[in-house]
Formats: sequence, structure tokens, C-alpha cells
Amino acid sequence: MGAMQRNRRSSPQTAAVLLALLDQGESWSYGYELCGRLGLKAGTIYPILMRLADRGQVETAWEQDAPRGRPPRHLYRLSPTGAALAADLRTEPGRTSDAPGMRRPDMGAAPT
Amino acid sequence: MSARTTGWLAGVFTAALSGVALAAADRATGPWRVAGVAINTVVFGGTLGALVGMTAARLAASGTATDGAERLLNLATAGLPKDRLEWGAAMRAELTAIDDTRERRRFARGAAGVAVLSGFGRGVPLGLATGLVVAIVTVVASRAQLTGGGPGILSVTVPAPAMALLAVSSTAAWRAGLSRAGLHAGATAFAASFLAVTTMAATEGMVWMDRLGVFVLDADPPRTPATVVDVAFDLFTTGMWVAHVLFWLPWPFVGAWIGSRGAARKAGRDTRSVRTAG
Repeated sequence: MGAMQRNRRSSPQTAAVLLALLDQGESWSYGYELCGRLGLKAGTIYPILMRLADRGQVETAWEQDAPRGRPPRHLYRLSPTGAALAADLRTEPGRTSDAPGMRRPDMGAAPT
Repeated sequence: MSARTTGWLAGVFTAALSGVALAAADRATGPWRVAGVAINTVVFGGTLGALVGMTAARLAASGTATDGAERLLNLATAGLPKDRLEWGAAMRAELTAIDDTRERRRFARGAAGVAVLSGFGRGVPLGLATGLVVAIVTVVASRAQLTGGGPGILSVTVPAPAMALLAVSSTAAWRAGLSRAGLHAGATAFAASFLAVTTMAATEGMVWMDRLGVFVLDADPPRTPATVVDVAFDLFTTGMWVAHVLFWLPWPFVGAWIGSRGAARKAGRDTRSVRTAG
């Protein structure tokens, strides 16, 4: 298959994750924070993040200044490829990022 | 309660439950019934109980877990494939940042599901192929007994898939070097084999009843005139599906364990050979 890309429409959940990360720009996000912001479960968010990371659309890193007694958390943000894809999604006609039970990326508050 | 005691209790309870289920499903009468149920309970209930007990003990002793959510996630992320190790650590670290008990449970359940199913698809082709083989073996055994006479296909549908499950799960675990790969292939093979036996018992049952006037599972004649539903669902109405499930259930676990141990030993031998050559 090599570098062949499948021109497949992203699922509403994947699109929501991409748009939520696009809103964050260069800032890093946590997995649980994304769950709270989008109203999605960990069982939905993590497979999406894994897939996006495998495709090089999401960059990952470990928290550098974790509080004492707590392991560093995993951080996520869009790579340039992912940002371009998310920007395309934002302008895509007829795209609705809403799935049942899901909040819009810019609506939910991040969990404390 | 210590982890060891928890393991023993869980194991004995599972073995006892298996014995009750096997006794309920056993059709024999008299002393043979007692002997059969006792042997099956020791062999199969004991194996299943040992596996459940070991898992329970491991769960109870899982690290320094502070609550059930952490224990669940620790267990689910243990032995992930190399390309998913980082994600297991990521989900565990994320859980430590959640304080609310309910939210912790919710997050752990979702994340554990992701971890358990991680790499599941790789075992699907082998599992489905096993189901196909079991279907073919069942039909061949049925047709051979139909012409040559025989005790019914139970003598094949119980042990043959069990051995297939052992072979498939050990092969998958050995190839990947991971017990979870064996469990994934074994789980798919289990489901596919059950579907195969259910379907073949129903269709072959019609042929047996039509030609010989007996049930396909044990070649017993019906006490009252049998309807199509009686024949098609004989596996379920007699409770024999329980016996199939109990007989088959330990083998994917045993195979996964054997396969992963074999792979670990081989890796150890290879490492020693390289050192010696160096």
C-alpha cells in the first residue's frame, strides 16, 4: 500500500477530537481533558488518539513537570499534517461534528 | 484477606460452580452420572478454577493499586504489545490525575476495554479459520456416523474444538510472544467454533432425525414426537451447550500460557546463543 492514503471521511468522533485539538493550537491536551470537553468516554477517545498518532496526525509527549507522587501524564497536540486535516474538516461543507451524546469541541468545560 | 486466599476462594468457587453446571447438563443416570460429573468437575472445573484463581490472586496483588479502578486498569494493561506499551502507561497515568471515585471507575472501564481489545483484530483470521475447520470436522463426523453408526456427534463436538482452541491460542501466543495474542485468537476461535457447532448440530440434526429418527448429539430417540424446533435447538434444550462451554473454556487460557512461555524460553535460548557466539 505504501504511501497510498485512503480518502475516507472521518467519523464524527474523530472529527471532534481533531477540531478540539485544533482549537488548542500549539498547547498540549490531556486524554481525560478531551473526554470531558467532548463528552466522550475513554473507550472512544483513546483508540482515536492511538490511530491519529499512528498516522502521524497527532504528536505525543510526556508531561515534564508532573507533581510529586504522580506519574507524568501523556500529552497530545496536532502535528502539521493533523492541523491541515483539521483545518480542512472545519471548512468542509455539511460537516457536523456532533454524534449522539457528544458535546461540541468549544462548548464543554475541561474537567478540573 | 490476602491475595493468595482470594485466589483460592475464587478458584474453588469456580470449580464448584462448574460442577453444578456439569451435573445439570449430564444426561447419564445411576453411578455413571456421579462418576462422570466428578471426573469432569475435577479435570475441567479444576482447570478453569485454577485459571480464575490465578487471575483473582494477580488482581488482588496488583502492585500498589489504591482502588478497584486502578487494579482493573493495571490488569488490563499488563502485557500489552510493544507498540501499545506507552498507551497503557498513558492511561494509567491519566487515571492517577482523576480524584472523583465515580469518574475513576468510568474512566478505568473505558480505558480497560481499549487495552483488552488492543490488537484483537490480529487474531481474528486464525479464529475464524478455526470455526470453519470445526464446522467441517463436525459435518464429516456426522456423515461418517450416519452411515457407519455411532454414539452421536457429542463425542466429537466436545473434545475436537477444545483441542483446536488449545492449538490456535498456543500458536498465536507463541508467534506474538504474548499471552494476550493467544487469548484474542482463542476468543475468536471460541465464538466461531460455538457458532459452527450450533449451526451444524441444527442442520445435521434434521438429517439424523429424518433418516434414523434419533437426535444427532447422542443418537437417542425422542420420547415424544420431536418438532423441528426440538431438533434444531437440542443443544440448548438439553443444556449440552453448557458442557461445551465449560469443556472448551480452559483451553484458550492454557494455550495462551503455553505459547507465551514457549516464546519466552525461545527468546532466552536465542539470547544465550548470541552471547556464546559473541
